[in-house]
Amino acid sequence: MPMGLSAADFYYILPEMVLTFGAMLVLMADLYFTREQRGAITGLSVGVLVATFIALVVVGSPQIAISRGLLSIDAFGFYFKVIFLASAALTLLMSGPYLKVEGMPAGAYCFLVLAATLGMMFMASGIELITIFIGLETMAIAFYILAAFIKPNARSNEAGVKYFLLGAFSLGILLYGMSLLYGLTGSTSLAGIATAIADPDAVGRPMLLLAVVLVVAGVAFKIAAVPFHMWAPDVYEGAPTPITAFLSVGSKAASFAMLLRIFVEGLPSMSEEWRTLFYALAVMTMTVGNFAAITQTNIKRMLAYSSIAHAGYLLMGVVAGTPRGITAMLIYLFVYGLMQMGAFGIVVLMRRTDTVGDDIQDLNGLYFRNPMAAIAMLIFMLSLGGIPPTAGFMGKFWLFSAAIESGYVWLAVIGVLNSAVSLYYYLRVVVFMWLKNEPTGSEPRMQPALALTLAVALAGTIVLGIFPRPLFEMAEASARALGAAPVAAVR
Amino acid sequence: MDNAAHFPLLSLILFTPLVGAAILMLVPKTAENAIRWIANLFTFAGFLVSLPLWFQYDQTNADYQFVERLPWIPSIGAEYFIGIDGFSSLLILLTTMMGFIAVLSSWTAITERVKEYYIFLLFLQTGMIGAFISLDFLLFFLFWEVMLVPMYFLIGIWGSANRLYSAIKFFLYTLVGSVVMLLGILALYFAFHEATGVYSFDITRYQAFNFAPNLQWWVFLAFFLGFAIKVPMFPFHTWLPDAHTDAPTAGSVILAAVLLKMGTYGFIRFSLPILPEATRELAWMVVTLSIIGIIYGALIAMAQKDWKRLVAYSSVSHMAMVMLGMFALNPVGITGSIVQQLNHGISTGALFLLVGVVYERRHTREISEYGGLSKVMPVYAAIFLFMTMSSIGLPALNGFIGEILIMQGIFAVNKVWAGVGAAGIVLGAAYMLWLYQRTMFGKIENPKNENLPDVGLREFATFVPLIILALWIGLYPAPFINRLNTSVARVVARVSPQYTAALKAAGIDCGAETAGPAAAAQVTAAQVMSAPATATAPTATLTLAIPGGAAASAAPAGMQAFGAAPCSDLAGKPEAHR
Repeated sequence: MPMGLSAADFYYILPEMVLTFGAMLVLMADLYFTREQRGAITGLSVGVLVATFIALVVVGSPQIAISRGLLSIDAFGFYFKVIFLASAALTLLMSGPYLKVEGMPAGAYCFLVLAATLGMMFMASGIELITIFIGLETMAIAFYILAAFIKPNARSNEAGVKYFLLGAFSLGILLYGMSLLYGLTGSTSLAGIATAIADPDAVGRPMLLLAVVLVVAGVAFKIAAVPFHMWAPDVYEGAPTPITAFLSVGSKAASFAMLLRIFVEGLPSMSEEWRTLFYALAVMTMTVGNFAAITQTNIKRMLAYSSIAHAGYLLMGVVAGTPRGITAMLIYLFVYGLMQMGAFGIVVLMRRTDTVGDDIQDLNGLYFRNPMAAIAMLIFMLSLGGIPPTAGFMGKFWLFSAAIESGYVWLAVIGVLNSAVSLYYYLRVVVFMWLKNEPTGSEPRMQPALALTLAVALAGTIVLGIFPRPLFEMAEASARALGAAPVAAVR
Repeated sequence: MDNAAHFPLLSLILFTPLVGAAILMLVPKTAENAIRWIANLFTFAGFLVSLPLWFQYDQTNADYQFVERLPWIPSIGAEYFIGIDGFSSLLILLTTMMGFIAVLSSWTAITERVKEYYIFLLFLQTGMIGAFISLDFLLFFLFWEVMLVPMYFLIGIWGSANRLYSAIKFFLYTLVGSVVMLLGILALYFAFHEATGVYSFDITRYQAFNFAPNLQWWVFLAFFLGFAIKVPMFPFHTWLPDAHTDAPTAGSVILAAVLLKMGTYGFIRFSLPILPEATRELAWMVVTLSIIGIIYGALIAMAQKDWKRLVAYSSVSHMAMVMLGMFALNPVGITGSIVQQLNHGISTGALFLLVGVVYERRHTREISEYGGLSKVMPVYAAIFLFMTMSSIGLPALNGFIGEILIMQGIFAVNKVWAGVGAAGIVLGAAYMLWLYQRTMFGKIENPKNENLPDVGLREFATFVPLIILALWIGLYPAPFINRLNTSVARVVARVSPQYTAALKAAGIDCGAETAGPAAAAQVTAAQVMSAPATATAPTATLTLAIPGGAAASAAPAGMQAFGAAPCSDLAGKPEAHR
């Protein structure tokens, strides 16, 4: 045993270990499988995720810090890991049909998706800056490669290079902020930092503020908050569609988990400062995201801007900073994952050998060709727009209520007006599917794996819109687990 | 609060259309006649199951009735909590009836995408009923928003020329209002929690709770935006003419007859009783906008060349009248406002059906395209005349009852307002009669009109219930008004408590155990209208010279005739209004 580690530590990271070995297994399988057998690789990868999920349930959420305070095994991390595993599984399910159309091998692709998931899991449990950063790097590098995975496609290459350059730059900023925090407090553990800056003036408020600003900027890049969002539309448009979905759901959820860990657990005494920063970011992100989305004609770009806007809504929960705000974010990330995955699933469906399928015109008359897909897309769009009885409404309801409860009424007003604006472009998608009947390209064919993805997303979106109780209770319990007591409400 | 029947009647009413929609989804879309039959059967069944609300509603019981209460999302205090009072029972009956009429009227009008059409109509039906029966604010909001989607499709797919523009305008306009309203709901929710420690969306508790005046003021504005857009009040009305003009006939009928009532329902159910102080404080604003709306809507209606647009603007004017009566904030005004809501649903719904009949034959709504139709379509012309008279408030028909009550309520508060309201009625008569003259009288100058078939049996059937109701309310409104007593009393007790004593004397009390026998003092019409300071006039039977059984409706409790009596004291309390 290495010093300071015990067998128990390995037990608690059982899910991560299962995932690691599973990912390697997938990589090996790619070597040893014959060309015909390779079709089974996505299935095998989903199996790995299921095994990881079982391990996760076995370990549970005992609320303890392990490995000398590197990781916290708690309900908060558990909740996020469920989101990561579910979104990775849905991504892989829709990747099978997509890669077949693109003519790309699945082996390395699946390995990278699993590796990204692994990184996310460490981001959600990390309670120490280096651990969090390593998790983030693991995820980010996997995504750089995945974004550029469609080698013959120039857009995909562009996406990968852009993401890599800007991502590396932002990670630098984040790391600089983290190193300042370490320099000022002498600790990389979040709890240690929180204790050291219990009185910010004693440490030196200006320098701390600089550190906070840098960390906020780094995190804001990851969640694609305005003005750090420039990469998102290009990357979302160019990356393989399932990866875009995974990027917008998994990566975003992981970055929010990291954000909550760092700011709520590590920097509660600076909450005035970071709340103000996030307030400004939230307003800009919602507004710019929604208004930019209106003019998009490419559906992936539109969903990119919509995903930016959703990051803005989610930031309202951070601004509130109350248990209700954090609960709201957890709920919203879950339902956002479902509806976003579903929407991208439809984009995957529209990708046929003769049609790229990501122009909004390509949805023309989808209702007449495949009514179920059009109904599903309608519900995803309504849910993204926050119309009941969908899960999206329940999520938004929580976010707005958190803002109101904490006294940020104007933020809530800006939020609801933005969500009204967003309906304009969501309904535009519906108009093309339902009201126009000049379809282009060949008949879209629903593959079973894709149908399963859509069915899961659809069922979740509807059921959680009508009976959200279990999700609410789970999210509330998870929010309570978020380490250092949540910061006090502003009145 | 109870459910004497121990039977989930309201849920049955709520879900009957939804079950119909679910069944329609399973029917192949080529079986168009089967789809039509199923849709008609389910909306008719929906109407039948709602009839017990008329017969079993206990109008002496001031509580919400037919109550069902189940936990829904306990962690935030949201419940599946539904129930009705006299006001909502009438609106539900209106909804189920108009829903059936709308579906029946579509039999030949809709030939494309028949299956989706009926699914959306049935879905809309559930949304509307849900909004009227919800006693949980979150549940109410859910249904309120759900209605937008099917209506959007009804306008967007089956509408006329400018349908996409009108559909999205309708959707976004109402959405902006309702999301701001949601913030208002949340503000009340947290204020209620802060004061009581309970998270609850229970409307009945809110109605009994006194929120801080400052909070009331802001929430009133938030609610106002949501409801005023729906009503729609000037200057938020601009979506309505577009939506009405481009919607298919059934969509217009539902929109006019039921959806607009959502706004006025919201004011009476939420704004007035939950935010009484702000209501009193801001009544001037609503009244001003109503007065502008009455005149403006009427004048614009007069200038219209499009038949349907004319009726749409008449809606703006009539709904402004409903708002004016409501914000007289006295029992008679509020009663009149509710009665006029029903009347508007009946007469404007019928007018849109009538436009639909000729539109189906000629595919134009230009008034100048018509003329002399009474020669070729005598039955049609007769129905149209009847509904025109109902709309302009001819005595013996329903419109008169609502308008006289509203005028009476408003007169006691401010004579100038009443004068403007009267001018609106006159203008209403002008544009409707002029429309009638241009379309029905004269020679047939357009050869296309020479061989128009008169209304068929099915079309006639859609008008029959509306004609009966118009006559019934016009001749014998007592059953309608009596069942509003407790609803009105509940609102008045909050917003104008000075009237409660008078109401109590009349045996109408929100929460009264029994309705005591009334001491029937006779107050003549002259007395009421000249408004002497009969400050504490007890209950009385108003013996206005209205025809039929109104005066004979010697109901034991007050609000007899058409319910004006207990309010005869309102002139004596000028301090009631600012």
